[in-house]
Amino acid sequence: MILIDKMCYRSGLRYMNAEVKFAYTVVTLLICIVSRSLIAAGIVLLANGILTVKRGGIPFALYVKYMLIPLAFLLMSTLALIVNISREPLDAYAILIGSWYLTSSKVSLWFALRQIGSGFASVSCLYFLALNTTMTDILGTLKKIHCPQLLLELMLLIYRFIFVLMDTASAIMTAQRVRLGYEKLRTSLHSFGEMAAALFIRAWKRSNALYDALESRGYDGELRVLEESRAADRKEIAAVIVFEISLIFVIWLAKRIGIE
Amino acid sequence: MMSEIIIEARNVFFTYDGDEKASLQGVNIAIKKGNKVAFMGANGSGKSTFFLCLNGVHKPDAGSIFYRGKPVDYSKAGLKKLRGRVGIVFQDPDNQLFSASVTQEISFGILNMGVPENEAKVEVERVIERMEITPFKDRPTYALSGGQKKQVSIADILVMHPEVIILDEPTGALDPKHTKLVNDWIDRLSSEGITILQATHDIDYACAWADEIVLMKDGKVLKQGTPQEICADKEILALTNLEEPTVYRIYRKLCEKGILKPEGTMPESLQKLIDML
Amino acid sequence: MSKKEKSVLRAVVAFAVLFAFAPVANAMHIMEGYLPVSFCIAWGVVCLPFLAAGMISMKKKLKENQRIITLIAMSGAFVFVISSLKIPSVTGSCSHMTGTGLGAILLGPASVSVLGLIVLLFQAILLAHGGLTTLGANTFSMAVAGPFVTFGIYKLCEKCKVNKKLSVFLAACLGDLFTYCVTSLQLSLAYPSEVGGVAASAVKFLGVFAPTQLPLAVIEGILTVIIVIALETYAQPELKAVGFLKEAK
Repeated sequence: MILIDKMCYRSGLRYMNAEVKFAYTVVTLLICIVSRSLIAAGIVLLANGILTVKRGGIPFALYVKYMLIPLAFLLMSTLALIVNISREPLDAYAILIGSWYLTSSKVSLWFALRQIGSGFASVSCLYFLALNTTMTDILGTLKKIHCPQLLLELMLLIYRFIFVLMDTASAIMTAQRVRLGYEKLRTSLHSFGEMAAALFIRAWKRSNALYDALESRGYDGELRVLEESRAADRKEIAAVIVFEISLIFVIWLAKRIGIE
Repeated sequence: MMSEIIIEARNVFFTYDGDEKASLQGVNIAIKKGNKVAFMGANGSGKSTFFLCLNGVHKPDAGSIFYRGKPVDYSKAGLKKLRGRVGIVFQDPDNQLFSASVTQEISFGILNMGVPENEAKVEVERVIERMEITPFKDRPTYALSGGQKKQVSIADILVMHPEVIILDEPTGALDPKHTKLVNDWIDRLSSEGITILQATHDIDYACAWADEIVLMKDGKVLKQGTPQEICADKEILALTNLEEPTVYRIYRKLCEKGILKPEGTMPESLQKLIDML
Repeated sequence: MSKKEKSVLRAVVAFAVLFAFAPVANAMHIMEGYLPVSFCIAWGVVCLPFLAAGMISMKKKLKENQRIITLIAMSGAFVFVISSLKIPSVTGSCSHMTGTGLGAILLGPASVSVLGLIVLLFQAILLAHGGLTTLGANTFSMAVAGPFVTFGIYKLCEKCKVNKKLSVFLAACLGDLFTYCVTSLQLSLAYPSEVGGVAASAVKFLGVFAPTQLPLAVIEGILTVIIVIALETYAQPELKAVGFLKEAK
C-alpha cells in the first residue's frame, strides 16, 4: 500500500487543473533552488503547508512525517559541507587535533543553512504535487508537454502493475512470515530473495495474460485512452502568477536590504 | 426459422510454444447466433485456449475458425474487426485491467475500434451508467473490490458493442451479491440478442441457463448438446467429474416417492420443479 | 572545556538527536532541490544519449515482438516494488534493495536505463525518494552508471568462467558501490570544499555516506545472488523470454 498515492485520491485539490498544479510546483521549485533564499524558503513552506494540509486535507501529523523523510540525507550532506580538515583554522569554529584543524568558515555554515532551508522548501513543493495530484493526471500533463509516447505508455502500465505486484508480494511475505521466514537476518535475506524470484515468475505469467487481454480488445501497438482534463480556473492561474511574482519581489527586496 | 451459425470451429488443433502436448486436439464446435452456451470441463481441458482462438489471439496449428460463415482473416485489419465483434471477459480482472483509471480502462477498446474521441466519451459514460459503475468511477483500480473490478472488466467489453461475448468463469471468485449482479447482466445481454459463451463449473447453473452445453476434456469436445441431453448422460458427466444437477436428483427422488409423475423432460431449474409440484 | 568547544559539543549532540528522528534512509537518492539548476540540467543532458539508445533498442525489440511491452512494464513495476519493500529483520539504512543491479543482469543496461528513469520518477512522486529536479543526476548514477558497471562485471566474470554466485555478487555489489561513488562525485562537483576543492569534497561525501552505503552494497549483492540462482532453478522459460530483451545492447 502506497500511502501518498492513496492520499492524492482523497485530496481536496484533486480536481484542480493538473497543468496549473504542475506549473506552480516547477516554478516555485526553481525559485527556491536558484535563490537559495531563507525568506523564500519560509514563505514557500508556509504556503505549501497551508495548501496541502488545509485545502488538500492531508492530516498535519502525516505531513510532518513526510517532510522528515529526506532528513537523513540532508543531515549527512550538511555534515560533509561544514567539516573541513585544514592546517589553517577558519573563522566559524576550529578544533585542533594533532597538527590539523577540524574547521569551517562562517560563509560555509551560512551556505549549509540555506541548503537546508531551500531543501525543505523544495521537498514541500514536490509533496504539493504528489499529495494532491493523481498519477493519471500527472501522466496526462506529461503527454501535453510532449513526453515520448513509449515512455508514457510504459508509465501507464507500470503504475497499474505496481499495485498488482504489491498485492502478490505482500501475500507471499505474509505466508513466509507465519512460517517464521523473517525471524533472523540470515533467514530474512533468504526468504526475501525467494519471494522476489517467485514474484518475478508470477509477474511474467501475468504479463502474458495481460497482453492477451489487450490484444483481445484491439491493441495494435498504441495504447489509446481517453484523456480527462478539467479546464483551468482563471482565478487559480491568476493566484499562481501573483504568488510567484510576489515571491520573486520579496527575494529581490531582501537582497537589496541585505538580509537573506 | 433456423438460427444462423455465428461461430464455427472445424477440427482445430493448437499447441502452446514449448509444450509437448496439444492444448486443443481436433475441436469441432458450431455456435448458433443468440444462443447461450455453457462450456464445462476440468481446468486445463482447453476452454480458455479455445476462447482465445475465437478472437484470433491464438491461430490454430491445424483446422479453422469461421465467423459468420467466413474463415477468420488473420490480417491486422481483419483481426481488429473480429475483436470488435467477439469480446472476452477474462477470469481474473487483474489480468485484464491495465489502467489505474476506470474511465481510461473502459475507453481503450472503443478507441481502438477507431471511434472518434467525443463519440467514445459518450459511449463510455453510457456503459458506466448501465453497469452501475458511477459510484466508484473516480477511484483507482487497485482500490476496487473483486466484484467492482469484474463490473469494470465487463464494461470494458460491452463498450465495444460485440455480437458475441465470452465470459471465462465470471462468478468464480465473487460474493453472492456480485454473482447475482453478473448473472442478471448476462441475462439482460442475452435478451438483446448477443450470443453468450460462458465457462463455468456449476452444473446446476448451466442446466438452468444454457441453451447448449459443451463438455470438454483434454483438449477435445466430449459432447455438445442441450442441457437435457448432456445432463441425462451420466457416463459423460462422470468423465468430466461432474454430477447430475441437484434438480434432477430431487426430481427423481420425488418421482420415486410417488409425489410427482415422471414426465418426458427433466426440469432444468428449481423454478420449473416448483412449477411441476 | 572552552566556550567554543562547548558550543561544538552542543551542536554535535543536537545533530545526533535530530538524526534519531530521521526515518530510515536507504539508497543514495539526491533529495529534491539539493543540486543547483545548472547541474540538474547538465546531468539530465548527460543521461540523454543513454536513454535515447535505450528507447531505440526497446522500440526495435517491440517491432519484432509487440507482446513484450507488458513484460517490460512488469519488469519496471517489479524493480519498483522490490525497492519499496522493507526487508524484515534488517535494521537501519540497508533495509531496502535497489533492484537496479538485478535489473541490469536480467534485462541488460539499455532497458534498465529507461525503466530506471521511470522507477526513479515514481519513487520521487510515490515514495518521496529523490526529486524531480534531481531526476537527471539520480538517473545517471542509479540507472546508467551503476547498471553499466554491474552488467560489465557480470559479463567479464562470465567470460573468465568465474563461479556464477561470485560473479553475480561482485557485479551487484560493485555496481552499487559505483553508484554511491558517482553520487558522491555529483555532490562534490556541485559543492567543492572551501579547503581542498572537489577532491576533498568528494572524500567527505564518500566518508559521510559510507556507513550506510557499504553494508547496503553487500546486502544488495547477497540478495541479487539469491534471486538470480532461484530464477535459474525454477524459471528457465521466463528467463529465456526476458533474455530476449538483453540481446544486442
